[in-house]
Amino acid sequence: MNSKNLLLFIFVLLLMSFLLVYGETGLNLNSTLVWQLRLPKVIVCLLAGGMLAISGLLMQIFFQNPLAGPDTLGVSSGSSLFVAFWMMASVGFSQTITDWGMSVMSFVGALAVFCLLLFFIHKKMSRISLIITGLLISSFTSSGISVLVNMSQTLQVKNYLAWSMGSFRNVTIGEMPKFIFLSLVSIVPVLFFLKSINQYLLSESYAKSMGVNILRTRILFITIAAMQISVVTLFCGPIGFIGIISPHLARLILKKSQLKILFPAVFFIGAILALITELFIVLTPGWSLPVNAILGLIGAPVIVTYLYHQKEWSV
Amino acid sequence: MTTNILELEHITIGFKNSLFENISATIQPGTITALMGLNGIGKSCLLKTISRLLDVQKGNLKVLGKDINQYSDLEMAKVIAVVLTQKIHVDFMRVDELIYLGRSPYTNWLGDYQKIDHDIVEEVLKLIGIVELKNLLFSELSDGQKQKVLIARALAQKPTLLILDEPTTYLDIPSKIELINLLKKIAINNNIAILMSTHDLDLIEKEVDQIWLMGNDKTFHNGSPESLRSSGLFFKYFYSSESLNLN
Repeated sequence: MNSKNLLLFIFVLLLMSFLLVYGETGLNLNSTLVWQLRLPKVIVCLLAGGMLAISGLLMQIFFQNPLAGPDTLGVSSGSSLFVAFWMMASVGFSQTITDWGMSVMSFVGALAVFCLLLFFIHKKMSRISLIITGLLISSFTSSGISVLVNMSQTLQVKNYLAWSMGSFRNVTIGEMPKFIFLSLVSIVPVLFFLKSINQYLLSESYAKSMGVNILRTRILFITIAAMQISVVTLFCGPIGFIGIISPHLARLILKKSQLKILFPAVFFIGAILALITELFIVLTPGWSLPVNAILGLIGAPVIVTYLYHQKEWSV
Repeated sequence: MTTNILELEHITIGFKNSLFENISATIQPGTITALMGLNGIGKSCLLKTISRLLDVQKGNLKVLGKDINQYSDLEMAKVIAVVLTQKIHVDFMRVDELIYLGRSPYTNWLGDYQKIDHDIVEEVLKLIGIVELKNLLFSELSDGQKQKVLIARALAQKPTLLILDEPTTYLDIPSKIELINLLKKIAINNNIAILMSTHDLDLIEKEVDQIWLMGNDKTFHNGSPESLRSSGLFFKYFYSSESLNLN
């Protein structure tokens, strides 16, 4: 780990401890407030932000597209649609996030969108068209969700709307073990495939010519990214921007492309973005700002700046 | 008897429909073969088929005497290396990092480089003459320099056969000549067979050992540059009114 990575890591720790300590009670080790509310929130920020960022990095490399991300390619929305379907259409099932059926649905939703994108890639779709397709998938799913909302009962709609605003505070202490388990299951495998992901940097054809088994790697890429995105979407709702901007910020800060260095940096930057968002919410009590609004304020300018500085970006 | 590095026996190439049929030829170690033909005739398709980025539709394709489909991806990577036409967009990758990628078929699952990997990369940098570029960013190089770096990456794979798809296309005339001389040096010094597609007949004619010609009447010819020139095939395919479609 180089010095800049270490700095990012220290920054994460600082933000985490601040979020744990800050508040009327301070850091009182006996306080239920700290253990039951603040600690889960901080862990969720760390893992969810990190996972979104890693999934964004994987997607940008896999699709060879700097604008790819869980939100721009419609993967988060696919996951949301399936979760919404489960929440609203499945009368008689429990509607909490500890329900494994819902985890499966959110994963299937993300995977379905990936399969669709892969089909378009196979048909030699250009990079711009792929992004537009992603945005269309998003608008398709939000229409689908509107239809579902129309057909549902008030309580279910209320549950859904609260979830769809996006928040790092939804996970209770009781749900923490499941969240941490699913997060680790979807992050750790990436460490074993850093080499093949690195070989993908040039292009898929070059990766194959260097001995990468393309079919196996494609399945891995998509399964891991879908798992990461669906876990975050399930527990925190659809969260935008972290996935697409973290890889760019990491490259800009470190000026590196090697996965071994980039991977931890991207994870920490994702975590930092989530923690900063939460910090903003904590520091402005009474405003009750949604997470996505704050991320939009940070994310949109970053993307526009990136596009502005791109010298050659062949479509 | 010299062993053939590559043997094509009546193969058919294409994506879904067959694009070009009945191609038969061989390549010997340490020789340069130029693949010629008009745009869209299937040169890239043939090169991709030989480097196994596309499947052989019909016929036998043997690499070092063994059928191409019997190789695993990893075994293949140690025999054949490619330089493709597609432009590479990768931010913040240094030249030496890109060349080290060529060693990845030989590294463990972590991708750690050993002494032999460092030695080979140094050797390749010297051979191509780009030692002074090694700490620069790939995205900041000129087209000619990028082409050399990509060739260096391919050579770091220690291939027996090096395949280049139109390596001279974006280059100016001096760079084209420099590149061809470089390829000739690689073929002779390192005993690597080179197969490249190109349109620069005048520049390569004196330097290559063999030309594969994909004619616009869908027939395949191969032979030495002299024999093909005396047979009038270049004129027929590249300069005649038939090929220019002027009538």
